[in-house]
Amino acid sequence: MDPFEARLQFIQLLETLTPSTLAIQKTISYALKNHELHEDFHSVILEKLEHLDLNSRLNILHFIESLITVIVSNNDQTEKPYIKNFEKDLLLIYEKLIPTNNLINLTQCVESLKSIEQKYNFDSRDLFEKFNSVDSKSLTNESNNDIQNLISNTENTFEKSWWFLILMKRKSLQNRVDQIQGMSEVDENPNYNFTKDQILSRIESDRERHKKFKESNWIINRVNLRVDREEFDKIWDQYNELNDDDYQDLQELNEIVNESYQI
Amino acid sequence: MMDIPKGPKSTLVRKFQEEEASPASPHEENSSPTNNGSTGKLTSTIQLARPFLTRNQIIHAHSKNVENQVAFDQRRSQVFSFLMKASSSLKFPARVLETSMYYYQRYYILNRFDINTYLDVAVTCLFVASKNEDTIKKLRDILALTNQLRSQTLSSEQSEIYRKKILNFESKLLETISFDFRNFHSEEFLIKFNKVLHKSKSDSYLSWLILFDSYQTEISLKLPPHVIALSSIILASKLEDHRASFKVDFKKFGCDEKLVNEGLLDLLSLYINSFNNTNLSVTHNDYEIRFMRIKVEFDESKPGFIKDIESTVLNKDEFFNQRDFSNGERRYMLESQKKRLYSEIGK
Repeated sequence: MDPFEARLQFIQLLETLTPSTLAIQKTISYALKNHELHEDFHSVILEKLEHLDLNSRLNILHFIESLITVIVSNNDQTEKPYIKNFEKDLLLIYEKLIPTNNLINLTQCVESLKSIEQKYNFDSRDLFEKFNSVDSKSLTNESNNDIQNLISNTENTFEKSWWFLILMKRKSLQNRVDQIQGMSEVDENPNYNFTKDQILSRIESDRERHKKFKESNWIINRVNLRVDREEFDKIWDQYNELNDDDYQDLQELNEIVNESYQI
Repeated sequence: MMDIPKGPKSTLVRKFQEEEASPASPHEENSSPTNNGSTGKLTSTIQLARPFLTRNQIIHAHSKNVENQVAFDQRRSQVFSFLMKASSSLKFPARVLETSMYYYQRYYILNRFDINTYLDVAVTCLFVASKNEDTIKKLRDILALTNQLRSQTLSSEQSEIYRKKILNFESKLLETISFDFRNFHSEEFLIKFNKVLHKSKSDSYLSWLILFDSYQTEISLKLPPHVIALSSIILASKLEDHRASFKVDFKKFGCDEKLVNEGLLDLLSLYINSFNNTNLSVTHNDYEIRFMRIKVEFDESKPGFIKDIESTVLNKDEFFNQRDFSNGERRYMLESQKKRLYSEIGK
């Protein structure tokens, strides 16, 4: 197939991408089949991220994530296409996913960044915690300019991306605080107001993505068939101290026990 | 007025004629209205869930369903290590394994133990547990792995027949647990209690390992999850510090002291009798000698336990009777729905 035709087909695939496993798989196998064109396809991806709507951009992000997973887990290839370019342009990709003042894709981006950096063997737990700790009270601790500087001065592409996500979260919080205090008008940028169809398709896609997420979010990798500290740590972080609901549960449990023993 | 029918037809519940129905007293949980119309005998039975049973209720149930207790116990440990392998390969979290171990034991409370099918029952339990714990795997995937573990090679046609067989077991298991899908996780309470007690993470880890081991015993059949959690925590602190007490503020954790003692007793006998089969033996091998000492100390503290139920009461308890699914309709209820049942009977 000549490169021009391949490019057109790839564009077609990206434009019609949905969150379904089938659609993503189809696009991945096309990308892998024509891996010698990966430089070309990479520019197509960036271009499409620029032009499509926010929902489709998110689909492309999930495609990128899955493509990286497939390539990294495939051991017999010495030359790995796409991987280097994605790493280089990761920040650019996230900038397209989260345009100023529209955070609809933020949570999904955080999830995807966590998963993508794993594939590159990069661990940024502290940056993730930093992201979580951003709230309206901590806004004054640092200025957005500091973070902006961090983004431009940091070498590592994953750290850059994390700082970008932190910055976006801060900006949106700042915006919200200003609105509450009546310091700014609600910004109605017509470009990012969704049509009814887009909203509905977003609901549908989110449902599909959540379904897919639930298929694998519980996976525990055990060494030697034994439960280990890692599994415990995961559960430990899941629960807090007893709260009022728990006491109610305890009471109900005791009633079940009494009814059940029948003594 | 109660009318207990005679003859071969044995249902799980007492029956009484509709026109004579009176609101049942608290001791007549298993009551059901009987439609004694002109069409003949259509019996309607009510089956309660009763997810927890006392020590001698379990013995009573086994006396009906298990011919050889030693063989049953041996198979049980075999099944548990099989389930452990399978759930690790399927990457299930510990709670799925624990639930499946509970289901397996639960199954033989009301069904006859059969040496030819107990592994099929185990596979079914893992399948149902994975559904109830929301860690869905397709039955085909589970079977592909478990068949491999059992070195069972099936043609595609045989696999399909076998899959249907497991689905049959599934419906039997679901009826056995009375469609009771309430799953409280003991590990959830364990973490919460540890956090209330300000235990360090490594102490809590020890109690979690004990909790995980506890599912090898009948403890999950007997005790509710919060009691199992508290027993594990008490034993863990006792292992780390011999001055620790067997008594804690039981009320604070909504636990009955007698039940916690039952739990401690089971845990201690597990570690004293089969330490090498436990997970703890891998990580804390030097702890083995401590259990004997703790047991002696525990006995000296003169712990109270729940009273045994008299055999006359047990024999009357129709919950344990052999089931007859040949005729009539069955209705499965949780205990808390009983009030509604009584109000229906009253009409």
